[in-house]
Amino acid sequence: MVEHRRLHWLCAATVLAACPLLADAGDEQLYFKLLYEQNTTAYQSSARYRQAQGRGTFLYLDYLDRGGLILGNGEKVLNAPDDSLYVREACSVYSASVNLNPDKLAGKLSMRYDSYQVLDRNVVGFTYFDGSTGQYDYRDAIDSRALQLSYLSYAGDLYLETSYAQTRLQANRSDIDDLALRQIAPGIGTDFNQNQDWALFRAILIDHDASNRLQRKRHSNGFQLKVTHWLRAAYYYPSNLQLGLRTGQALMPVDLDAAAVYTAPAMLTRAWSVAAEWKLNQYLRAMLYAGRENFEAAQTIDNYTAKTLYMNISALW
Amino acid sequence: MHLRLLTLLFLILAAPAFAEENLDDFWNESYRQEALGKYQAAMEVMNNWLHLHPNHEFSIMRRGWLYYLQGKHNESIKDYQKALSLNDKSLEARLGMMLPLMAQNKWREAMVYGRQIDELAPWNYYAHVRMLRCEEALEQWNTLADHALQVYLRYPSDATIIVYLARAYEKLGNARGAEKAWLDVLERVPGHVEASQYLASHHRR
Repeated sequence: MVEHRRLHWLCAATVLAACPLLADAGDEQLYFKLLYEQNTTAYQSSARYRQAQGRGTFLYLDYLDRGGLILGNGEKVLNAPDDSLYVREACSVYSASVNLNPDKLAGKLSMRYDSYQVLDRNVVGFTYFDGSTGQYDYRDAIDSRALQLSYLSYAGDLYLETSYAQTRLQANRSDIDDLALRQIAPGIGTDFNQNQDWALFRAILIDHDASNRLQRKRHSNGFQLKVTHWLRAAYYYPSNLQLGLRTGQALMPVDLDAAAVYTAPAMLTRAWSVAAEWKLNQYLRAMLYAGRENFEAAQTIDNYTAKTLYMNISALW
Repeated sequence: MHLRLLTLLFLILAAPAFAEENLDDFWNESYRQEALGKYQAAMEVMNNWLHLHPNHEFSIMRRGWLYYLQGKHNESIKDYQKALSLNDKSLEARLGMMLPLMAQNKWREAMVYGRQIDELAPWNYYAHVRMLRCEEALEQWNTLADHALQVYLRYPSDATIIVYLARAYEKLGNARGAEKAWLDVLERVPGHVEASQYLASHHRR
């Protein structure tokens, strides 16, 4: 895992080092955003988790609105209430998108392909009959790929999207089945209040193979609503406020907005979040997010709540 | 024999006059169709001409313009690119290129051509006004305010530039600057709707 992380840092450093050269060579045709994020999560009513700390770095590259790349790398550590377990998670994100502007449509078509690779190292402590203690140390690998097709009208008043994602969770333990999920997520968005507000509604339809990780469920359907309100752009005001709501059930959904995949094999049920984003100046952005998510563990009876505080800061050039 | 020679001589001498008359008719017809809003018909006339003269720079740019008016932005971009390949010093081809790119919300790419124009001919009015629109769409409010102020100093009687300056100040929360700019707009365009609405809503008229 350490090698895995080093490789991604090396890639990120190489790309970053090349950025000024590329930007000069391209007559300001390449645009970059470097984002650093950090989050902390407190779990309530969970037998398995107590708290988690995560951080990540994303590099966004855009070529004249024609297409872009996202390279991301993150890590997260989850601890159990009695410190008998910890999960160390390393995540890599690769995303490529292409924009098309067909004359027959009054808007932009975008195609995006995402790949997420997550390695979970689970260390579980246990006690033998004789009172001595030991540790299980096993790894989960999560591989998720997603394809998204979206349309945004030039006037910005209509957004349509649909995405298909395949996720595979492989555990190298003989007593736990692998898990394969397929997700279809159609969405529609529109602006209102004279372009001051934006609303996006998305259905998340997931089906999965039979697995002893799950009870009898084979499908989960969730719904998501996101509302964004834009404010004046002065640095001391947030440039926008966001409200997010989820309902229904979604097992390990892929979230293309956040370029992330939910890795806990648990049903995400109700959730809400609020966020504020600041444009500190032309080159700096910052975001604060607070959210609460309810989960129903699919394998065991462990319904729990995760309260997350998240911040990111990004530089654009 | 004499009659044949005379006829031949007449044809040789009169041919340029016929050709000029046909050429006039041709351009007249294209402009007439455009004035009637029949852009497709105006373009078909151009296509007949371009079939015979495929590298005629002016016709290619004119067709690019007619494609733009019809909302065929990709075709328009192709024609302006071809015009640029024929004459890479052309400011007009670059100005033309900015229009379909802006119509497709490709603000950054339009800015590339705007900057090229500025290098070749500093402070070209149309290039700068279009770049101001791009900066507004990209929500680069500080850049827009600074840029609009610089263009305003070069074109102090122009209301459009002050509108962008006022919008930028408004977005940046500079109420005093916005009010002053909107008042300046009203001096140049009495009854300007956006200026009047801003000043009315801020009770400072």
